[in-house]
Amino acid sequence: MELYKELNKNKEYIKNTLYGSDDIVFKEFENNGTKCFLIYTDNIIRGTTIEEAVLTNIMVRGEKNFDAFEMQNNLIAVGETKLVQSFEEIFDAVLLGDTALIVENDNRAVIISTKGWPSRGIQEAKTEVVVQGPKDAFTELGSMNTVLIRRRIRDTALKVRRFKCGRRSKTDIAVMYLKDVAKEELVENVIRQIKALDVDCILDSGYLEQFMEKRYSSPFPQLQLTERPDKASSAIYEGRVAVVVDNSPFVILVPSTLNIFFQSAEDYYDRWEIMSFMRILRFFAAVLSVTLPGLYIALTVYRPDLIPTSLALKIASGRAYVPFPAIAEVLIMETAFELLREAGVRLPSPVSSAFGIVGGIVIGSAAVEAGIVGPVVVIIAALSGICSFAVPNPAFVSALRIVKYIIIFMSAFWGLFGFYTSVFLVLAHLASLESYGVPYLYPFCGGSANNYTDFKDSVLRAPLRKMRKRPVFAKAGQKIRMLFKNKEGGR
Amino acid sequence: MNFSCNNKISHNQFAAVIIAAFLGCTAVSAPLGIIETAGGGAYISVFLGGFAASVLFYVLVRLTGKRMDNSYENAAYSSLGKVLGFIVLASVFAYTSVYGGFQLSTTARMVHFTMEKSVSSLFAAILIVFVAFYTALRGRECVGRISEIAAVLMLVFILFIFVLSAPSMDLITLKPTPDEWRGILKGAFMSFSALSVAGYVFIMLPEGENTKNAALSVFAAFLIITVVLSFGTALAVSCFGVEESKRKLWPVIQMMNYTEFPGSLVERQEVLMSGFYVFSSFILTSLSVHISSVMLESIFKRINRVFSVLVSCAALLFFCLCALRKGGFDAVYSIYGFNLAMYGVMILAPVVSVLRRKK
Repeated sequence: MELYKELNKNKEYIKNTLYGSDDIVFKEFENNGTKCFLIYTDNIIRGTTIEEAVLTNIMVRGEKNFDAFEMQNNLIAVGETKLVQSFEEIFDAVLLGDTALIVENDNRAVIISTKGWPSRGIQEAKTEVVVQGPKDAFTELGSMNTVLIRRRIRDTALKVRRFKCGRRSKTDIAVMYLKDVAKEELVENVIRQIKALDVDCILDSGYLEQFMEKRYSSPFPQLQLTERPDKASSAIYEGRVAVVVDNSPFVILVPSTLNIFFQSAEDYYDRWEIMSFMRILRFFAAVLSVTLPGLYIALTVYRPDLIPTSLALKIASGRAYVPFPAIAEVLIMETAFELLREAGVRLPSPVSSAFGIVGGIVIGSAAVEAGIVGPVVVIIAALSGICSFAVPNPAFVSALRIVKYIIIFMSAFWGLFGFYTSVFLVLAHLASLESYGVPYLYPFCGGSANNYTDFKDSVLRAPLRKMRKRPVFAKAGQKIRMLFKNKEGGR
Repeated sequence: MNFSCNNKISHNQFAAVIIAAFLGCTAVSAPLGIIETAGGGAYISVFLGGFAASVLFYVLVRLTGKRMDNSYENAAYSSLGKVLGFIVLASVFAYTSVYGGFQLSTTARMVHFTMEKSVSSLFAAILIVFVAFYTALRGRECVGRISEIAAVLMLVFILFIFVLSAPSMDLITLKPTPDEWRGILKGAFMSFSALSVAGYVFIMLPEGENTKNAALSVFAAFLIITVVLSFGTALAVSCFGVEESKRKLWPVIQMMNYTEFPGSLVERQEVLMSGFYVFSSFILTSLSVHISSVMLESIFKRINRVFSVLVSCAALLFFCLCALRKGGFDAVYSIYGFNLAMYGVMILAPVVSVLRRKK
């Protein structure tokens, strides 16, 4: 709705609309006899800016009757201002922390940038901890997060496209990418998809992630969330797109493949040999965490003849006084482990690690002594749990946890055949997934699309000098990311 | 490029599909009959027949690949006309269902006898078809991608076995006697026939993005299968001897049990090996369901995807049941002639298409 020329009508409409919002401040004052009306939201503005750069200038230094345009250009000493003509724009700005100034006999308002939200300072990353490398993490302030990325990419090609999402929340979204590296269709696709969303609110990037995923019914995350600015910057350098969501300390990276979920930021900050070893370990751990309990059931219940005799006897003697079938044994221990994990998350961090260790040991040994489970099952459940923690991405770990139970049940029903069937089913599901056109299992599937160069950053991590090409996400003409003209590394 | 839901597969995926789908199945079904016919020189038969099939496929793909219309179905209608095209597509649907069903019955029996006694053959078949339904519904790309992983895993595992088993090979057993050559040639024909099922390639090929290197991919894939199968047959004959091999139902797989794995935690490796076979069978069944559903969709234009895949699954399961009643394993052998005849029907469309364009 357009603003009126009459200040009283504008005041009335604004006050009626914002009636009941006691945190909205309305201030009326004069500039050489011309009536002015100031609106802002308390506590989310910088008070000094309003007092020094707006009120003082207009009330004290205003020498003649100015209209809104002249005030914007001659009196308001704030860098970011704009003229608007509708009430909706005023409300959006005021609720976001800006200040609106309406002048008598003018159907325009000046929006003055006075945002000053209370925010948490930059802290260490909590979910993606590294030994070597930068420690800073994203915060809930979207604008701060874009700054953290821009600090690492001082390139004019870095573009930030801003818009709002959420009918009521009007959450600020910033899409960041390198214009000459990211594929245009990817960027447009991401922006189009976010803009097309018609939802009440976007409270966190997790919301947006779920709306952006093509196969939302899959347990596997198809987009990556990170709280590390270095990781987001690195993704942008590779031609991926970062989506910064206001009020969320996690940035979405698009597209994402299974391989990416096994990569940690410090993989690139340390020597390639040890990091390659860590990568192999992570993949091995993931496979083990998913398959071990199911395989145990399939072998002990259905095919004990496949286990070496001495080991089979040991397992049998351990289970001699256990009153439950193997599936119940495994489920008891797995549930106990899941409960410990869930309880550990809710506890204060200094207590949680001690609780986890003590709880695990006490429950495990007590269950064995009480004859509820056999000792091997405790080892299997613990090993499976520990292995899942070796994977750096929490969302992917959650998916592995669910898949583990599918394999457990199918192995319990149909033995080794159920085990093989469930593993194939999981593989088929993974093979059917895509993230913005990139196969989820890339580069293990479809690696030929980039001449198999992306294998250099998969199960093994090649030396940085050998990773000269950008991954498949980058534009066709932007594949080379480093050039060495001599062996010493000079150009 | 195989990206972006375009229902296309790359050359390497194309080769991987051939390896993953046919390596396991031929490893099980082919050697027994060939050993019976060719004796100690069975591995030569396998190699000769496989090599001949590789060369033939290479030549056919080179000749027809570039000149075909954008899909096999279009080529069938445009080159053979509506009636003949319909007959060819219906025959391909029937063939994929029969062959897929017969191979499925072999897998189901193997699951019951070797892997899990408590799982009946029928139930195993139903479970495999259920998985194939899911995979086929997800499209050609899904089959291609999963094959890429399965083929690599299978080849690495098989290479590992061969490296471990090779030193214990008894080369004297493998030396063919002069009176065996007739049998060897007959075995070579059987081997060629067993590999002729890959008439499937003509149906997959036109939707590959670039047919330029497709012929080479097909040749490489068949050559790999041939070499692996030939070596496996040689190992089986060397391990059991000719007479004992003839009595084994799955000589190549059963041979695994006699291979010593340093530090192995498993006592009966042949059960693990049959896992690879089951994986191969999953892929072959998915491929069969996918191809027959595509044929159905091209015959009945208004049919939707889910329904066509469901009907294909039902047809495959029906033929599997028939084979299970008949004895499963023998059924696969009984269709050698049928394989060759269908192979002729399958290449009819591309060949006529090429001839017409030349005119």
